[in-house]
Amino acid sequence: MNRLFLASFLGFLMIACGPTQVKPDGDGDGDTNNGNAAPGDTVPPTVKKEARELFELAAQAKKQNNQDKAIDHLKNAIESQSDLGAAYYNIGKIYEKQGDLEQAKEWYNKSSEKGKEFGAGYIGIAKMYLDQGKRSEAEGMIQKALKVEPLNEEAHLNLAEFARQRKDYPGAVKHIRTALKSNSQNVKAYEVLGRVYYDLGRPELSKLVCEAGLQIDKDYAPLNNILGLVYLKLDNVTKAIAAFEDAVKSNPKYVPSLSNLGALTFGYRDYESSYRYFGEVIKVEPKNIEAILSKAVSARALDRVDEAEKGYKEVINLEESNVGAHYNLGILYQEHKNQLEDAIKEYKLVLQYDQRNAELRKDVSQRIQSSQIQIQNQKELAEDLAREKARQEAEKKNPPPAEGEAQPNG
Amino acid sequence: MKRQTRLSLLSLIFPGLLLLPGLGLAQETKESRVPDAKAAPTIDAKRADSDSKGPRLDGEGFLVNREKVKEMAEQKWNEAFGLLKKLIQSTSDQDPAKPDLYYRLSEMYWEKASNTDLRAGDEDERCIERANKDKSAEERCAAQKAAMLQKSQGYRDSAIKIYEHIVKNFPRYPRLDGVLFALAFNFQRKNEMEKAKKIYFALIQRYPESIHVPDTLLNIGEILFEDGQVKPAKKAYEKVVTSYKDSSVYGYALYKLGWCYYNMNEHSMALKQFVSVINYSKAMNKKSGVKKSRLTLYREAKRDLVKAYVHIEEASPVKSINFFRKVVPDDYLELSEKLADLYSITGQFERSNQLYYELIKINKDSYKVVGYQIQIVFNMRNIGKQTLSVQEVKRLVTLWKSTKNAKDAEPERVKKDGEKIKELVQSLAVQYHRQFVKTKSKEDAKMAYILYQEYVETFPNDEEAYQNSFYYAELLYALEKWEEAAKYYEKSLELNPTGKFTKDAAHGTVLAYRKLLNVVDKRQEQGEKAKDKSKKDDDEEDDKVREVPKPKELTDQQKRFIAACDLYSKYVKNSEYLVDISYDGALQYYEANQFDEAIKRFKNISEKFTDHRLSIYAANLLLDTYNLLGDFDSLNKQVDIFLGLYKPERDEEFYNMLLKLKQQSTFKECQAFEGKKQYLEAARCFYRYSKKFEKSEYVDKALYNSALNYKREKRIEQSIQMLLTLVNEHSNSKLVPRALFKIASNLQDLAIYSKASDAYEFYAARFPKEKNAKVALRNAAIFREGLGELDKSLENYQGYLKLVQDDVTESAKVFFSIGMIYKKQNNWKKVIDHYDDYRRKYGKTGPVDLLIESHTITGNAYMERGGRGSEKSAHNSYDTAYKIFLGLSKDDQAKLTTGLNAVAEARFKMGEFIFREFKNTPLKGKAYRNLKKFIKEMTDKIKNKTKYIADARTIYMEVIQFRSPNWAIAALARIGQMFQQAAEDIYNYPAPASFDEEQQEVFKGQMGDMALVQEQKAVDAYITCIKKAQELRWVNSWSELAEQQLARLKPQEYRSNAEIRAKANKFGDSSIDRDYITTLPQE
Repeated sequence: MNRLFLASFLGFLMIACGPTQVKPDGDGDGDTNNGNAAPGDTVPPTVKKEARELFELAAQAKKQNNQDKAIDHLKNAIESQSDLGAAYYNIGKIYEKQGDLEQAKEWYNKSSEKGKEFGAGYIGIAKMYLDQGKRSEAEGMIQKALKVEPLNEEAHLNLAEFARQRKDYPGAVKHIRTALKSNSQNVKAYEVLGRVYYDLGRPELSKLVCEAGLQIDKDYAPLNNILGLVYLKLDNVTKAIAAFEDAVKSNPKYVPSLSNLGALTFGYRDYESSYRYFGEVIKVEPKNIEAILSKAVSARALDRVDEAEKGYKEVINLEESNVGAHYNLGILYQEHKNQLEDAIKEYKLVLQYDQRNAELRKDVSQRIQSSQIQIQNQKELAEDLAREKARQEAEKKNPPPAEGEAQPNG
Repeated sequence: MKRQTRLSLLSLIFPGLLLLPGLGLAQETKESRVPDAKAAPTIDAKRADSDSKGPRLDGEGFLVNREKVKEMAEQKWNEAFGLLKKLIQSTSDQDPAKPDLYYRLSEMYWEKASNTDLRAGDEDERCIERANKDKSAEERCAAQKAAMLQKSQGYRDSAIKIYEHIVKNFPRYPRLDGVLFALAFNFQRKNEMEKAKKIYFALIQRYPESIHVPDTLLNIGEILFEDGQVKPAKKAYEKVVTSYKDSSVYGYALYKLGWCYYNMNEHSMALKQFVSVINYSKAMNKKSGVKKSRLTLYREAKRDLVKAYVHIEEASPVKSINFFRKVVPDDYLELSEKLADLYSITGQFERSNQLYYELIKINKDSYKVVGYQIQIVFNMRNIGKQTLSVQEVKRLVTLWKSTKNAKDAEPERVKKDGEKIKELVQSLAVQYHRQFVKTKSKEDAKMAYILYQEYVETFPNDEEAYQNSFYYAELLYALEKWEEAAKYYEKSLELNPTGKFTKDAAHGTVLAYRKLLNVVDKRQEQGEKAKDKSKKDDDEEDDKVREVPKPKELTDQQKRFIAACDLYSKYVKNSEYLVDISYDGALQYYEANQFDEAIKRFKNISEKFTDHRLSIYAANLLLDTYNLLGDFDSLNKQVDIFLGLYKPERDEEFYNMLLKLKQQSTFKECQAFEGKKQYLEAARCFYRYSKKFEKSEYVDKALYNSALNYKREKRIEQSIQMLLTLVNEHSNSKLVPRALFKIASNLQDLAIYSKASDAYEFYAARFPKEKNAKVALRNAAIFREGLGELDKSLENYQGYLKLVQDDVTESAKVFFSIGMIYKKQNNWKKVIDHYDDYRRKYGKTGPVDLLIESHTITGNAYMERGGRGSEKSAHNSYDTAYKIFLGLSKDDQAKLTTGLNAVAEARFKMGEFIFREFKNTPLKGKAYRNLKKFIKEMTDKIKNKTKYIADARTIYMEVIQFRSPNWAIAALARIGQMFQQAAEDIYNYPAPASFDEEQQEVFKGQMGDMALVQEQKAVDAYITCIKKAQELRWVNSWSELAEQQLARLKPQEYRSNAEIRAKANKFGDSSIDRDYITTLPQE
């Protein structure tokens, strides 16, 4: 019984953790430990003492925000040991942070080409592709990373994310487990897994995963954020807010939690907080359209109508076809500024840009209609008022006889 | 790093078998060395005078009218002799002067003979002195003397002839008496006593008045005395004494009379005589000056006083001093000394000592006391009282020490005495020591001890000090005075490190210290401790980190012991005890935690003397020391060395122990990595261990530890592999349950919840009594629930319930949770039944929160289930929940958590019943024509409707107090809804059919006003709801509803937030790359 059970475990492990690689010479597992360690236990490449020291100096320089010095030290480390992938990688990281993507890409490439079993460089490039929306290029780099480092955690986690996006949840879980195999303390793996379970509609499981991950790193904002979303799913707004606030506490620039807090606080009409949170998001991501839009809505709720209008127009500047901006602008014109013609214009743009959302289209159509009615009414009222005014003026000039007085004709 | 305690490592291997070196094995013995017999120094044996009969009279001195023999010069004598000879020749025989001439000639011969005798003696003395111990020269001197004596004899013979000639030829010679006397005297001198006697008697007979009669009588007395005829001699002497008081020989006769008494054993009379002689001499000296002969007599009598006294039994030795003081005041001390001496010589040792004690008292500041005490010692020895004898020796030493600087202490004498005393003490010490060795008598030991002590204290550095110190030490050792023995062994080594006793002294030192330090006993103590500790360690699951014992200061004794051991090793090369001693030295360091030294020594013994019985113990202690220090590298190396040196045939047990140690030390090495937090290395090390020592009893631990360390390094897969290997290949190991649990927990860490659940379930099924079984089932239940595998989750909860049935609170919670599973399964009947069950089992004992919740859930289940009577049942359940809450004290109410939410829900739902009724009660009147009737009905209906609101509102307002955000907001929204509905219903209440248009307008207006009131209340309620949501930071569909309705009712004041904006649904960036790498992996 034991053996059967345990054998199944072993089998499971084999499956769950991915197939092992076979070396050309026929040895299994792709192990490099020569029998001195358990199978699958890879021995890290040797690092020369000098190279290590220079690497550490670079870390210190970076900590002190001296990026140039950090790069120098890293380059010296490379001179001392040319296969030190991590050194190349860090240079790439610095350049990327500085916005020099070309340099970053070059150094990332070198890190994986020259580094020993170092796939992180290719992953860095993959991320850059993903940021640029180049999904297939990104996938290519990920595969390349796996070739040099079959158990590269980031590669598997990215693949897991791709699988999740296409709702291949078992596939996603498999990749996540492979990542965890090498490093069970990889909080990013827990993040992806938590998201997978959330997507799967298993909030309790997602909660377990998040809590497990937070035990590893209680300040990991993404996990707190997911936990907050799980609590929302479980209808516990208080705990959700607490979780988002924890995320923001540990990472004040964590946009998702800031945004979620903005949305939640708006929900119970704490417009000031909402306005502030979205403002924080914009500080981090000045071109975050949703945040600009939502902040503008908060401004509107605080009766700062002009500011709201400005916000909506900013969004439109960034994205002409942004339906939300046009819609909100329409509402602003209609309900707050009595610029009904402008409102109708905006609503029509909404109809133009969003062809699929039936509910929205219906609402917009109704709004157009009511605006038109309002215009008509106003027009009629205006006409009535004009007529009345004319009449009064006419009367002023020709006052009517007093009551009882004979009329000329009558 | 985890270390074993002292010896526990070994005890793991030698459980209870750690033999104590020395116990049951050959005891190191010490052969006692006995000093060679040493002859006691002779204290100069005083000999009694050879002439016990008395002194021999120097005849010439006492001859009447004899002047002192004048010494004539040779030439002058020859001239005088020649002249006389001529004169005789020329003188006729008839000449009356002829006999005088012959007499004169005979006297000349006699003088010559006497002179020659004297010269012979003098020259012999000088010759001997010149010879300076040259034997041949001394022989020549003797020959020379003999020649002279012969010459003297010749003269005497010549004198005799002349005397005979005179007697024969001149019978009438007036001085014939003198001639006869001289002739008799010469015969006497020639030892022809009979002839002499005959002539003396003839003289007395023929010349009774002769002046020579006293001398003749005296000489007769002498001849008889010499012949042993004491009584006749006495008569002769008495005759002189009584009849010839004025004679020159009176004194001598008196003296000789004393000797007669002496020889007749009448010692008191003899004494008296001698006293008389002394008095006589004194008187005569006073009277007629001091003469030599009287001096001699005085001296002799004085001396003989002692001889007489010594034999008088009644005479007290102590009183003799006073006696002598009276008789010879100037020499009483001398006589006393002589008497004491003579007592001793004559075997009267007690009396001799009494006198000496007295003499010591008198002369206490004089160095003489040393001499006295020496005699006392001698006497005591002869008495045979050993104890007293030793005391006297002790006293002698004391006296010598105290008086050696006295004024009369001659350095030479002091030195000689010192030598003698030293010799004496030493010889006695040796004697008693040897005796003790044979007799084992305490008394002998004590004596020897005292003597040795005296010796070494008095003569610490003399040439004999070396061997005396050694023998003293030997004695002390035999007496088990370990410390002193050690001290004196050391002393002897100090005095001569390479002497003949070096080996024994070194050995003795070691043994003495060993006894002193209880080394053998301590070995036993250590062994016992180690045994106990090993048992304890065997029982512990995990080794605890223990501190390395701090080095202790060696005591002085220990230091000296070690020094002794080292000295022994240095000087005694081929001793059979070398290793033992070296071992003991090492043990001292070991006990004092001075491990560097201990290691060196144990290593030496165990590697170089592998055949010695102690080598294995040394080996054990060496290994244990390494273990204590946590120096597993050295331990390992040493084990390898020993494996090369010690074969199974030598000691199978030890060999097996080494093998085990090899395993253990390797194990410890791996643990050392853990201690240094090098977990990956530790994991690999343990893994390698499991491969290398597959049969080791620790292989399961190794695998387990490997798993733990892999886990620490976040390598879960490897961790699981190790655990699986353990479980698969060592299924009998005690660690299997833990391993299984860890596999499950690792799977949990990998977020493989389904497999983790499987593993937990398996573990709990296999090991239900293990402490983690509960945790396992609980985890499995939670995971199954999360995975939506509700049936399995249920099963696990039920299993868990069985395990926690003794814990009421926990089992209540678990039972409750099971109900929630049913709820998830939408199995409402089961929910209802289950919570009924819950309340039966845990209603009174379980948490109040759960009790309230159970009612609320039951209520909800009824509502969900529907059917007949379900609403009533639901209501009852909600009401029960509410009543339970009301029944709690304020404090208990304040303590509620989930219960509060549950009672809020229950109360809300109670309100909902009213709301439903409210909703189901349309505000519609009949179309009465009768206005009054119409109005009445309308009023009643409105009243009824508003009553519903009021009733519901009461309930809803209570809900707010429960502080449950969700239900509080819901309650307020509901209130708003009810008012709003009421407003609408009132507004839409149809006017009576009989009303015309205007009347209807008025009616509408009135209804509108009424509706407005309700509407305002609705607005108020909605506003409160929104504010509450803001206050509680809560948003739900109710707050949204309130917002929407407010926007509808008061569009100018409350805009609806219809804009498109961000929703709370943001996740982080999905792309993942590695952060800036701050550290490189350790190798």
